[in-house]
Amino acid sequence: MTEPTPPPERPLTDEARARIRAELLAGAGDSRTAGPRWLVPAGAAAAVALVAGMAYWAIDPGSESSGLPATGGGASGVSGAPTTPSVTDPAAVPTPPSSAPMSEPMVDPTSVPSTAFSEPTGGAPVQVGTGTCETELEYVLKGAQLAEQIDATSSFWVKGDRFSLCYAIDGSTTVTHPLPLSPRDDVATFRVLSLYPPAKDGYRTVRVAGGVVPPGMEEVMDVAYTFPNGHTERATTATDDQGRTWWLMSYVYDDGGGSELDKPPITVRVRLSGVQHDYTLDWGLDTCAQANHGC
Amino acid sequence: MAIGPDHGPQHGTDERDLVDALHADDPGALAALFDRYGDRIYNHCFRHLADWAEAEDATSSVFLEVWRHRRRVRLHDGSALPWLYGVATNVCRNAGRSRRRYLRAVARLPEPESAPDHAEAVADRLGSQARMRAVLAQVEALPPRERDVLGLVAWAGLSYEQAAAALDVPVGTVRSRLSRARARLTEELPDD
Repeated sequence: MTEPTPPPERPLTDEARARIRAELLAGAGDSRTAGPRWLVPAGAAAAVALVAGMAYWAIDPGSESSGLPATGGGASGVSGAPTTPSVTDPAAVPTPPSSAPMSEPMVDPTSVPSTAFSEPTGGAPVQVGTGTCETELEYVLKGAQLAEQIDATSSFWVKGDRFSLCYAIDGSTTVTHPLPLSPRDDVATFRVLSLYPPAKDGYRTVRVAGGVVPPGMEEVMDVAYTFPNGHTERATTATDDQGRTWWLMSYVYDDGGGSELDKPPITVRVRLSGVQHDYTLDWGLDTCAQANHGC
Repeated sequence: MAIGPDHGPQHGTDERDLVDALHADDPGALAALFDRYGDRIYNHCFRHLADWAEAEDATSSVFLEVWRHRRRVRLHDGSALPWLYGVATNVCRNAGRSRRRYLRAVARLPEPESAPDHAEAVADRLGSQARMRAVLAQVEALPPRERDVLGLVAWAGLSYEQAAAALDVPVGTVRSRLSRARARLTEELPDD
């Protein structure tokens, strides 16, 4: 014999990957800028909160909504600043949903046009799944069925009382952590998945979120995300053949590079028939909703 | 043996750019390095610690050390991986020492009642930890320097040259340490 053989390797879980990534970005950002020292404990606290949150999801993923009627969507996870690009050949962009917007979207001259992805710089490693939505969901929400194909890139998948958002672009597929079909009134409902595909002049940032519109709220719900560049992107809706209405928000922009921790957070404003809720997405904690790869 | 999307050589200009960005204090480059090699370092640390949870913490420590010493990051044949393994070997070796002291202390305590866990994943996780502990017990008699070479070449799959870069020793030293380690194991361990 030569040497004893260790057990097979295994990847970091998405939760661990996200936690470590958040710790690294917090630690690195802190030491680089010599900025506020609270960032490190805050990162650790966020990690603890994440782990607790994950445990909660794992133990009780389909419990009833806790109180306030809210929207569904988003997912759990952690991430951080734009880093390794996640899309191999982003010759396409997230297509705006074909359904009507909830309200008139604001036009932002700084937002990135679709053609921004047409000439990638290339050379970046692939970090995302390359299978179909169904394949990528195998380890996330096994057996999930397509509920609604919103557009060329985005679809919602359901199994039992949970759903996952699948975002597929150029052979790269991202699925979110499952969320209950009965949406909760908390920030986890509005977490975004994040991708950083290369573009001609650097990288673009893609943020996508979605979920279920609570029954009866189809005409009175408005979900709007405001990004660090000042742009506000409103969710659009579509109804599946079972009568469920889904909301979807996707936005592509150039975030200017640098650490996300130094930028203003993404905020979400949810209006439900005159009742307004505001959420602030923590960088990393609430901006890495994907389940099948890192951010 | 290695797994994950970050496995395999991904050298070239992009890694040079990554290191340049690290030198320029870009935290995003650290995150990119983690995205690329996090799984490999995680498994390397597990093979030192025989505990997946502690390997996670050690992985985080490794990359924070990388950040602390970012200006010293160097490429070997276009890849930062060997240097990264060098940092990881030091960090995880130290963590392993602490863990072994802890385990020796725990071993003196009464055996807890076993709590059956029907989750297959948990069982698998615990099983792999037990197996790794057994493997480490088998190689514990080796000098640390030989264990390091064994871990990098035989378990992590580095070439002799990469292992030499990781440990900052000549390639010949890697070869001889590995040869001695295998000879010792052959003498000391029964054939399977």
